Amino acid sequence: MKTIWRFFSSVTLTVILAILIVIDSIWGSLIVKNNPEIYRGIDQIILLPWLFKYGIKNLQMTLWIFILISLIFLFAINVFVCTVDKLYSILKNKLPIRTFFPHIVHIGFLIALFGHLVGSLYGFRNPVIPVMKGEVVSILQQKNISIRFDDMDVKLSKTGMPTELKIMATLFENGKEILMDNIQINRPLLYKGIAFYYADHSETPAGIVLKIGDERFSAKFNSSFTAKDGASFKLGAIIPDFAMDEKDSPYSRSNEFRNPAQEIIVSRDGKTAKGWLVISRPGSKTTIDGYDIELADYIMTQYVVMTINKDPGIIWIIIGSLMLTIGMFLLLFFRGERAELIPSRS
Amino acid sequence: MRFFLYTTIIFYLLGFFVVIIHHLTKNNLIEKLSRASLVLGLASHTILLIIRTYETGHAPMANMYETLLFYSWSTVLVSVIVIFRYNERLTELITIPVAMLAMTFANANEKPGAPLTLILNTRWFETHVISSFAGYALFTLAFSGAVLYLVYPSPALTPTLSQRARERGASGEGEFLEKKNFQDIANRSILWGFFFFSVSMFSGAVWAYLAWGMYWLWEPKVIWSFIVWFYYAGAMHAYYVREWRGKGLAIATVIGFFVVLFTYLGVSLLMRSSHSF
Repeated sequence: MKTIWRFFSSVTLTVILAILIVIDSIWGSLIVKNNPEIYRGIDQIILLPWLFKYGIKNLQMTLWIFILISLIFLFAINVFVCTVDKLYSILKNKLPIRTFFPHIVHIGFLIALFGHLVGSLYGFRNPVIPVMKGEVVSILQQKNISIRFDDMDVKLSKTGMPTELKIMATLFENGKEILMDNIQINRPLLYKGIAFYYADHSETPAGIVLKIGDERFSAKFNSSFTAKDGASFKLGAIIPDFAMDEKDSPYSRSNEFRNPAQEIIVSRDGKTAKGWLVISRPGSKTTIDGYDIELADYIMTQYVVMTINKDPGIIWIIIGSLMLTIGMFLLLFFRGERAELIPSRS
Repeated sequence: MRFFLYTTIIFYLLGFFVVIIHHLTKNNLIEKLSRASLVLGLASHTILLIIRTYETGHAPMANMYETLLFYSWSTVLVSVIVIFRYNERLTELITIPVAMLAMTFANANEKPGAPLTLILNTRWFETHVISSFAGYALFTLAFSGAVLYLVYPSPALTPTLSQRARERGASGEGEFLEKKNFQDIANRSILWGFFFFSVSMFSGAVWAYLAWGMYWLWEPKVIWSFIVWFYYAGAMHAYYVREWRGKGLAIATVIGFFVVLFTYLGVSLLMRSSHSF
């Protein structure tokens, strides 16, 4: 046991492990450079569960990460053993407080590393969550918490560049409104460790404006309206890439919105008729049950794309990193002449 | 802008050649002249950065041109500190040409300034980039100290130098101390550089968390920054291994500078990353 302890308390081991970590990371950076799509995907997930489930089957891509984790684990043991050794010596010999400063750096490093470990094991990441204006969306992993996108404020410069962007949102917990706040770039909305980020925004059709005879009707998707003559019109299913097969049955050629069509169900005097209206551009027409129906316009609504993450390790990373930098500062300025590039030799 | 860029390069060039003449002649007036040239160059460089800041409305660190100007300014600043605080006139023989090279490269890559995008419009941007370039400048100084340590003759091992020292009535201790000074400059610049680089890594991580919801990205720039951090962490600890303290550590410090150069320029130019300019 003593031999193992002595082995891990060696500064030579620290240097050798640092060199090995550097070599392994250089190798890894080349793999990352050649496979950016895969590694961009890894950014969107919690690392360790993925690594042990799928990464293990793709060792040509991930072996360097396994090696890196192992080396950092050994490095952490090395730092821990060294620190314990030195702290014991400081306390036993009642050495001055300044001898403790390098170990503040070491302890900070270990805490930050612990934060990385926690963040790589627990929490969740939802990189792309589209939320329509007014819509309430629950978090997949914590269904009792949901968010509503209320409004948006974008200020533009003369050149059309956004100078300020604010997303007004309301948070709900167990159905109760608990918080109204805004999300900005570099300022996520934080609640119970869950962070809500703005990722993107745009407009999307939320419904259509139809011209039927002389009348115009605005209807949201999946809603109904009634004409003057009492006929009821319901907007049904949408087919993204509309086509008809040989039996005249509608189907979608692909999942992309290349030729979207809206199902319209007309009910009059207890009878029902169905038809399809292509909604890729205004002006397209169809006739259902004698009604000439024309797409006049779209009802547009704003949506934002949110990233919703929870990282229980971040607080440890902040505490550890702060300790590390404060320890370095103390080491430079309060431990002999270390801040001097050339010490006085008097 | 161009006027101040050229004025800066001319003053640095003048300071560089005049300090060489000083080393050859040991003339005090010439020594003062070289100091004055460097200070005037640094003043002109500072004006250049102020003008750029005024024109773009943000700190001059948002593209390759601006960061090269800022890196060279930081490098000259640490060199001037070394000159005035320690009367040390050899490290600049390496740091000033490095700064001039960076300025020449900047001149070739000049881009018009643009307002910051929203994601860069935060105090984290300045904190992250300034600390990063302070680290790079100090690693450049460490490189200079290490090169001088390696090329500077060791009095104990060089009979001719000892003889010269004896002829001057000295014991050779001066040469030994000067060589030791280069080792100290290299090692302590690494300590300072590591401090600033750690601040940069920390602020970058917090900023990435606030901007994207993650403090680590699997992409070349982040991995190479991690490499630089571990490289210099290893170098700092190598100082405590007696057999690596001298030549070995100096060679590692020289290699470290190329690791820094690749992280700054190589990754930005050759690899696609969130830090590409």
